[in-house]
Amino acid sequence: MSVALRAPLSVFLKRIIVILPFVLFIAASAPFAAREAGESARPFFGGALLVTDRGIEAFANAALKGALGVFALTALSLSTPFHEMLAGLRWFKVPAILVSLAAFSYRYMFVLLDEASRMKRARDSRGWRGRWIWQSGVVGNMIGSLLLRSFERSERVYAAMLSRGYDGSLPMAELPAPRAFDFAVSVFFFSVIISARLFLT
Amino acid sequence: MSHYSAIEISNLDYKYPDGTQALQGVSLKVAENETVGLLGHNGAGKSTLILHLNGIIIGGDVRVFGTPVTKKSIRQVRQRVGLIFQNPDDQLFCPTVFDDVAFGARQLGLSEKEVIERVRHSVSEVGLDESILKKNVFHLSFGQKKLVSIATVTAMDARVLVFDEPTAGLDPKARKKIINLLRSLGRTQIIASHDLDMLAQLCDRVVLLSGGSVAAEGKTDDILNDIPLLEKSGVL
Repeated sequence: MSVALRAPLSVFLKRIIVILPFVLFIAASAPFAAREAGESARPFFGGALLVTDRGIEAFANAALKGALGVFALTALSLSTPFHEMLAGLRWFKVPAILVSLAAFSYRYMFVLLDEASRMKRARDSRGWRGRWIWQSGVVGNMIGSLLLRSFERSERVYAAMLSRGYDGSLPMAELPAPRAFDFAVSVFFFSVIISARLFLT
Repeated sequence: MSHYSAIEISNLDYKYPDGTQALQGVSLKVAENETVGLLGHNGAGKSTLILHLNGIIIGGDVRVFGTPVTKKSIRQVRQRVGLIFQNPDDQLFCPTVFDDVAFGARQLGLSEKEVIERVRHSVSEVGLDESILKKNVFHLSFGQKKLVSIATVTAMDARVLVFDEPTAGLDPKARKKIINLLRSLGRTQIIASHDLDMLAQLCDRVVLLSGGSVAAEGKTDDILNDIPLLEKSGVL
């Protein structure tokens, strides 16, 4: 498993544990939302909560789907370098503008975080404690100036792109050619999914 | 290439949208293969002037190898004139170093094979190892980012290289490396900076900007040894 992930299993588990509670939390609202008038329901907590069978099914459905999504995304992000993922999105004909947006977000996320932490350090070194409610304005100012700086940076980046002949398309590395192994794995998974659909329902 | 100057600007004015007069009556001529320093205090108009050189700002009479910089000629101009911005985080915007160096070359519509060849050549020309190509730009040191920035324009085969503060923020070793690199790169170079020592080492000629106008220009030694002039112009 960790070979397929190209990372230790413990890293995979750690990442999942961070996200999973959110998925469960969101799914937990499903049983209560799915009750119609007159539908029979089981009482919980001495009748304070009423939950239908259909609600429990909805909960299981949402939780499992969510968890599977988290597993898949975590596995993908661990096993695939970001630029290959972008090339993959391109291959799936995701609109170029969205792929570019993802590429830029990823590239400048780190720069922005760096900038924010430098601002924070400069703020704290001038004795900021952040204890009082009226000091919260400072945080607002910081966010505002970060926004302005990012805006100005985007203009400089755009100028740098133009100066290298940017005309609206962002060429990217091509996908590595699929190996026989990749085909084998894909066929295996698709057949599992299709047979589950055919024989289990 | 021709009997034209690499860069020829005559009587250029520029006012920013907020009304700030950034350039006033600036004329500049740079011969092919010449290295010219643009010296000036903060806000003297160095960066604004540079943005005119490959049409990021279009306006006034700016010629590149005799071709006026207009909307129509912009592709050609941008291939010939490469800007290297001061902050490499502005310059480098692709997920990997390879993509970044390849960006301009790909925009020129070269074949992928040719692109790869140019990328390799440019990266080794600036003294970096090919193993850097696979790296994420975020993981490079500041000095490495500077070198990659230079490779991104040499990969386009630019004839004129324009540097905005190439030595700003570098440690002495990285600074020395950049200076040696600029010396060995050849081509026509325009270097905007207030690093007097670097300009003295590299430039044939220096143009001194002050308050948006050319305060003086001449042989590097003549300008850099004129202490009262430098002090008056706020660069010493």
